[in-house]
Amino acid sequence: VNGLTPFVVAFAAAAVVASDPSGSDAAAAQPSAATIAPFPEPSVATLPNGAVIVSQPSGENPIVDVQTFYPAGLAQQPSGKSGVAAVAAAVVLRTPVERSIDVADIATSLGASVTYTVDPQDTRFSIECRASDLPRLIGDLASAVADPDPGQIAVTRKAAMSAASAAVADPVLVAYSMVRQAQYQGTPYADPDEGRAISLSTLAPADVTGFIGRYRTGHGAAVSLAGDVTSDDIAAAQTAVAGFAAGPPVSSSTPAPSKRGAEVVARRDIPAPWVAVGYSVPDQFSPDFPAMLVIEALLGRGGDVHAFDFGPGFQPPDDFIGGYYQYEAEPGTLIEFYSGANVDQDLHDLSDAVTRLRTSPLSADLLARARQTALGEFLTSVSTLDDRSWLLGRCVLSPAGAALENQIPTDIATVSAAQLMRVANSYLAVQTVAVVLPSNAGQ
Amino acid sequence: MRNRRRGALAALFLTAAVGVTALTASAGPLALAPGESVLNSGLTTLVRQTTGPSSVAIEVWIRCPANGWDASEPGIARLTAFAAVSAKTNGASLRDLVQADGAELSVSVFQTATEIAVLAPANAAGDLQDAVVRSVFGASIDEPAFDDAKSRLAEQQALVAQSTQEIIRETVFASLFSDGPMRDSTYGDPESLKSASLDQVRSFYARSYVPAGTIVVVVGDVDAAATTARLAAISPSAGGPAPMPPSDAANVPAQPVALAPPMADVPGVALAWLGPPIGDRRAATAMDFLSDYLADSDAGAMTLAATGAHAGTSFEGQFVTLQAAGVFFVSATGTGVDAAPMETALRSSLQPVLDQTLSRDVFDRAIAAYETRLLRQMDSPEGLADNYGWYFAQGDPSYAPSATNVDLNGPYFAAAASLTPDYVRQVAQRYLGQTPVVIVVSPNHAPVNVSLRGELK
Repeated sequence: VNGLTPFVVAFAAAAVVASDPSGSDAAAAQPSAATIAPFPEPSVATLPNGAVIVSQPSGENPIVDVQTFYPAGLAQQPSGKSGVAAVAAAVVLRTPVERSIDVADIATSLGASVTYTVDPQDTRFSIECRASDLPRLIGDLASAVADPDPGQIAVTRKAAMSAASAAVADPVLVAYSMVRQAQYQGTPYADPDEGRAISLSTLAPADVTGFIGRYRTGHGAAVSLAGDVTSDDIAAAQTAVAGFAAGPPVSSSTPAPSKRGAEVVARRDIPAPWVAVGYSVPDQFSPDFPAMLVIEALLGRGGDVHAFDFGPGFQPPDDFIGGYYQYEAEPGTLIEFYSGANVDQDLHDLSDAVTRLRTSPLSADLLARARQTALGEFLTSVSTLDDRSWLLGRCVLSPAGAALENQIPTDIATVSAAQLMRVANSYLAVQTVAVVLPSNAGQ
Repeated sequence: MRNRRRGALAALFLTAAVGVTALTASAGPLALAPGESVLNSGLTTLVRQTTGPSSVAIEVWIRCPANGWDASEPGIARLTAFAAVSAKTNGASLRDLVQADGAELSVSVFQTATEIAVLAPANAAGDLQDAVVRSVFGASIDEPAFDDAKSRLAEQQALVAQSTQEIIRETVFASLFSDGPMRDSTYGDPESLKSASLDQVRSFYARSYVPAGTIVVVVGDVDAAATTARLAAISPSAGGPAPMPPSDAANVPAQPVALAPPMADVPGVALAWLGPPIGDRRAATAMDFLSDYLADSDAGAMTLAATGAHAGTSFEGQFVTLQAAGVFFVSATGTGVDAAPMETALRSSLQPVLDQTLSRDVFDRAIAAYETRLLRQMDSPEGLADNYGWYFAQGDPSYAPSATNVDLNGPYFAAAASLTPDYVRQVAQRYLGQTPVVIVVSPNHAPVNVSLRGELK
C-alpha cells in the first residue's frame, strides 16, 4: 500500500470481516437528530421573475459572503463553443464599471475579493467583503453582467488557451478529462472547463456576450448571502437580479447514465502512471445522493466537490489521490484517482470494495461508522462563509429548496444497508477507466 | 472553499503556512483575551460559540522549543507531535478517531510552539475534544507510534528539501538568529531523525506537554458552558513549563546568503528583516499593516513589483508576530527568476514607504483594506481559533485579532485604529530601513546522463 489509499484497503478488509448477510442494520447506532445540529433556517425571497434571494446571517465579524448563481454554466455552452463559459466569466470581471476600473480591482482596493467559478449548471460569482461595501460591489457586478466589455475577450481567451495548454500536460487533469469526456459524450460538459484550444480560437465576441446574456434569466438565478448580512445588502441583491427575464431556465443536454464502460489511455512525461476510475452517479439533488456520500466515505475521499473548480488562477491539484465526487453535474460523477507503484493493487482493492458493496449488505457496525464518517465530512466541508453561502445557494436552487440543507445530513444519518446496496448496484456497475502512462513505459 | 486534498504535500504546506515564534521566559501571568480562563491545572482555555455551520475547531497549542530544551534535538517537537497523535488508547489513535468521524487533523510545528488541530463535526465534537486532550496529556507513546512518526517526518524532510520556498523560510530564520529554537529547522535533518530515540520523544513529551504551557481553544457550534465543564473535568494535574530558551539576533551575515541545494525545485531570492516584538503592540500592528500594504498577494507593492519583474513569479511575504523580535520577509521564486534584477525590483518597490509618508487618503483606504483582509481570514472557526492559539503562544493572548466582534472592539483593532501615516513611516524606517538579509537560491541539479539512459532502454 502506498500510504495514500488506505481507505479502500481498510474498507475492503472491514467488509470481509464485518459483512452481515442478515443486513441487521436496524440496530445500527444512529446519530441523534438533535446532535446533527442542523443549519439555521434562512430567509428566502422569490422574485416575480423566479430569481431567489436567500440569506443566513451570523454575527462573528463584519464580513459578508455572497454567491450569485447565473443559470448558464458548462452544460449550457453551445455546441462547438467549449470554453465560452470561462471566457465570459473572465470578461465580466475585467469589464470597467467605475470609470476605467473593473470590479475585481475595485474589490481588491477594498480588501475584498470577487472571483468566479464555472460550474456544470451555472456560472457563479463570489464576493467576500465588509457588509457596508457589498451594495457597491454587487451593483458593480450587475453592471458588468448587463454591459460586458467585448474588448476584454482577447486577453481572457489567451488566458483560457494557456490554461488549456497546461491542462494537456497535467496527468491528473488528463485522467479527469478522459473520464469526463467518456461519461458526458455528446454534451457540452464533456469538454474541459477551460475549453479546448480549437473552440477557444473560434470564439467571436457575439458568442461571449451572447453567453453572458443568458445569465440574465430569473429562473435558475440565485443570490445567497451569509455572514453579517444587512438589509441594504439584501436590497442590493434583489436589485441586481430583479430585471432578469422571467422566461424558462436555459436548457441543457443531460445524458442518460452510460450503460457501457470505457477504457482510455494517454501518455505523458511523468514518472509513474496515473489511473482514474469513474462512475456515473447521482447528483446533489437526487434522493440517492446521501447514500452515495456514504459510499464515497467508504471508498475514501480525496477532495471535495470544489477540488477541480475552474476560476481565476486555477491550479491543478497535482497530488490528488482518492475520491472526487462532482455532484453539481447532472448526472454526477465519482472518480477514484490512483498513482504510484501500487496502482495494480489499488485497482484490485477498489474492485473488491465495489463488488462487496453491490453483493453484501453492510454489517450494522460498519454501516454506522460509514454514516458517521460521511456525516462528519459533510458538516466539516461547510466551515467558511464561502462554503456556507455556496451550499445555501445550491440548496435553494434544488427542487426541495433551502430545506435540503438540513435534509442531507438527516438522510445520511438514516441510510440503510439495503439502500446502499441498491445505490451501489444502480450506479457502480459500469465504470470508465482512464490510464495515463509514462511516455517511455511499455504496454 | 477548501480543497481537501489528501496527500503529504498538501499537509506539509498547510503546516508551513503561518510562521514561527520566539519565546523567552515568562514574565508573569498573561493578559487573557475575553473568554479565556486558566483552570486549576494551569491549562488555559478559550471556548467560543459561533453561529452557523455544524463544525467545531478544536486546537491545542503547546509552547515548546522545536529543537529540544537544550537545542540539541532538531526536529524533536515535530517527531513528538506526530507520535502523540498516532499513539493508541484503547486501540485507537487520535488519527483513527478523526478519520472515523469525518473530521480533519493537522499538526503544525513552529520554532517555539506546537499546534494540534481538529476540525470536527459538531455531533462528534465532544468526543474528539476528549481525544485531542488525551493525546496531548495522556498519550502512551510506544514503538509503533514512534515508527509512524519517523516515517512521516522523513517524508516531510524529503519534501522540504525539494521546495525552494521552504528552504528560504528556514534560511531566513537561520540567518536572523544565532542560537535558540528560532535558528534551527523544525524538521531537523536526516541525521537527527536517524539518531532520535523513543526515550527522547517520551522525555520531550513529558516535559513539554504540560497544562501550564498549553491552551485549548474550542470555537464553533458548541454549548460553551458544557464544553468548558468538560475541559475542567478532564484536565490533568498541574505541572509547570520550563522557561523558553532565548533566541539571540545574529550579526548580519555576509551578503547574499547563497545556496545551491541539489533538489530545490526553482530558483529564488528573499529579503528579511527583524521587526518589533509583540510587546510593542502599536509597532507590531504597524508592521502588520506594512506587510499587507507591501506583500498582499493581490495588491501589495512588492508583490506587483515581483510579478511585474518576471512573469510566473511566485511571491510570498509576511510579518511574523513574535514574542521577541518579529520577522518580516518576502520571497520571489519560480522558473527563470533571476536573483539580481529581482532583488533590485523588490528593494525599489519598498523604497517609497521609507522615503515618504503615505497621503491621508491613500493611508485611510489602505488601512480599511488591511482590516478587511484580516477579518476575512477569520471567517471560520479554524480562522478564529488559529488566532487565539498563535497569540497565546507569543505570550500576549489578549492582543489576538480574534478577540473582537462586529464592532471591532479589542486591543488589536484599537492598535490598528491608532496608526497614523507618520507613525507607519517611522516604523518602516526603523525596521525596514535596516540592511536586510538577502538569500539567493540557485538549484544545483545533478546533470542527467542522457546517453546512458538511452543505452538502458
